[in-house]
Amino acid sequence: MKSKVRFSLGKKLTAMIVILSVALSLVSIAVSYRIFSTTMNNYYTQLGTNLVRTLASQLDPTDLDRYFETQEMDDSYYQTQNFIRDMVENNNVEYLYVVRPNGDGVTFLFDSDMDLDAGGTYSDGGYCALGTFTGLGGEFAANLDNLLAGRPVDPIIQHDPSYGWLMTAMTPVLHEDGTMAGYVMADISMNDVMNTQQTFLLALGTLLVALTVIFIALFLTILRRKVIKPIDQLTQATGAFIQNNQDELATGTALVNVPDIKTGDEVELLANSFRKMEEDMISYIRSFMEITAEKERIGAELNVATQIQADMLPRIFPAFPERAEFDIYASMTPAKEVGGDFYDFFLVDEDHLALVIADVSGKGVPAALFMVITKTLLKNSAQTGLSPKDVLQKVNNQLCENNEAEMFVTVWLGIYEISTGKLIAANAGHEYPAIYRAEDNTFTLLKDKHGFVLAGMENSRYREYELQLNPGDTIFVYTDGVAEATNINEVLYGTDRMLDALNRNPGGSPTQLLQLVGEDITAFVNEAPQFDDITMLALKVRGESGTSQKLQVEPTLESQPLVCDFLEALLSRYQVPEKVIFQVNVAADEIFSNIAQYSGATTASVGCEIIGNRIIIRFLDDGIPYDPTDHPDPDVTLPVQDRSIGGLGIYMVKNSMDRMTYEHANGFNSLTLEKTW
Amino acid sequence: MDINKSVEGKTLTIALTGRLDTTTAPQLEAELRDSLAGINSLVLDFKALEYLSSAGLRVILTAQKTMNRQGTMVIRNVNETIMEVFEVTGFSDILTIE
Repeated sequence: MKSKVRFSLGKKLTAMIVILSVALSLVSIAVSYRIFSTTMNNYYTQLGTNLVRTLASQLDPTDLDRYFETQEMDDSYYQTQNFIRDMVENNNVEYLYVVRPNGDGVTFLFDSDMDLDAGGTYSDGGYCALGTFTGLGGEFAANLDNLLAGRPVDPIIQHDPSYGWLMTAMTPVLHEDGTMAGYVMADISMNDVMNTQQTFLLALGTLLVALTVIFIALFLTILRRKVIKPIDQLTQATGAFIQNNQDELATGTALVNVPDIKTGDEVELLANSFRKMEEDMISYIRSFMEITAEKERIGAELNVATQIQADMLPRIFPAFPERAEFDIYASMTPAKEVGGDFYDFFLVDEDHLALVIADVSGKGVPAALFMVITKTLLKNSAQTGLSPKDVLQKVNNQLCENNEAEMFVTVWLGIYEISTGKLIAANAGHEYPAIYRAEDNTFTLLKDKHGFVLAGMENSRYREYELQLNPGDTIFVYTDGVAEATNINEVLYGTDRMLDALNRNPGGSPTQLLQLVGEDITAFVNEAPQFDDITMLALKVRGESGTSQKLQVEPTLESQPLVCDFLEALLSRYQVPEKVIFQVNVAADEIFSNIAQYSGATTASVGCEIIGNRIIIRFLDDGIPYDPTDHPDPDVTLPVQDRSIGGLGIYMVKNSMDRMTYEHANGFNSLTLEKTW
Repeated sequence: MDINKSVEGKTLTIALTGRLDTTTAPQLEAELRDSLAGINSLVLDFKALEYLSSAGLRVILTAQKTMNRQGTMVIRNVNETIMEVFEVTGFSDILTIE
């Protein structure tokens, strides 16, 4: 990949060199010209000055006065004239003449060209005879006052239309009293000098331009070879390194592509740095890929662990469809990684339901492992029939053994007696439960007595308390993931908001309540990530007051009338239609006689709940597992002699009831009948 | 359950009061076992019978099978609940109900 740059390094440097060269050339030309012309001028000035001084020393000022006044050329005049002509011939001078400044001009006294031709005037370029007057121009006019006063005047160089460049050197001829008698002037042609100067300038300029061009060419060649080309190579190599090597980089087989640059300067250092960088990049990407692969593997395993952990919690709802006495629902919304929250519920026996909600300190795999241990120990202990207090004490001591990781777990454990509505609970450092009382129609926190967390300290003592849950009442327990859910402004959700959410539909079913709180938390935290597991469990006692009853009986045929009387009495009291009562009686007869005759059970019970115009009847027995709903229906179209009576009873029950469901749990057959009229 | 029995010649009429279920069916079964000899017409009056269960059906089926061999059997005054049971179980097809 080579991208065009707006101002290349070559262009920039060339421009700088050109500017530098021009500046240097101008300075050197100016200095050289100055020195050259000064030297030349001095030479000619000296030449002219010597000449005029020599002539001036030979002239008698009084003679000059006489020539000026009389304009007579005597012998002495011709003698002087010859002398002047000899001087012109022997010296490199154009003209040599003597003038007398007067008025605003000069009057010629001698002129070296005297015998060249027959006369003329100065302005014609011809010979100026004695007494020729001419006005002054240029520098001469400017110096008229000096000339009239007889003061020395520096040589004047100026261009004359007739003679070209001339330098006029002059010196006054003075009387003894210092008054001016005339001026000796010599014209020296400066044309050669000027030509020489121009040639000099031309030669110097040409030389400098040629040198500049050669230098720039040389410089650019070196620049290109030693700087720009290597930099281009580096640019190309590094620019394409990632694009062209994606697969090789991924597999760790990529090779360094920086060319070997041996310029021995900073560019070589730069190339070496790039090479080192690519080497580092290759090895870094290789190890990065390895780490990523490892992370993916761990991530996949953690996902499985999370799934296994979630599968350990009872998650099928309704959990006890055959139990009309209560309704239970629980949920756990895990945070990103596996956590230590859990809930649990199970029947200790037919009349006791254990409820557990717990939160293991910390997160991740250690918390998950600790959760598994705690859950198992709690269930094992509770199922031996221990009271909540004793369960916690026992499990605490078990957890304290070998708890090198110093983990702990907060637990709320309740054991609910279904027949009486009595709840015995113990709290090991867990959140306060929320209680709904149907008579108040509101949820409030139950500030129960907390014991120390489990696994915190050996031989901790726990207290238990007793609550009476009446029909319609609900107990709601949760983990700190609810109370400590945090929004983006770091505000805690808190138990007040939780109670408000619950009280929006306090009489709702456990499913509705958990959904309500869950949605409220989601709305509250909004964008903020879920930090902790959110776990909730609610138990609601079903039934209008007093409609749920249960009869514990010996599973014998002698108990049959008791069962029928129990049901009939209850149903009659609630004005259940007679026909339904008969149907229920037939069903009870069929089911209970089966239990009494064939199950081998040692204990049995029948429970009945009336909700509006619906009855739920549940038979429990500890006999051999038998699912009557699984029994094939008899053929009711056979002729008399082929008929048998087997299976007819169950068939009748199926037909007269709306629903018949069977479950075998905790050693009990549980058969639930439902009928609506 | 009360069993009220009356014999006129070879016709035996049995009126049942109460419930014919697992507990009471054996009484009826014993009664019929003792009384059906020489009877060619059996009438079961269910006027005062509240309901019957499969145990009762079994006794009725046995009686029907016996009477098929030695005469006829008629069931009278069947209430709605019991009629439903007969219909559901297909007994209405094999019994003579008046």
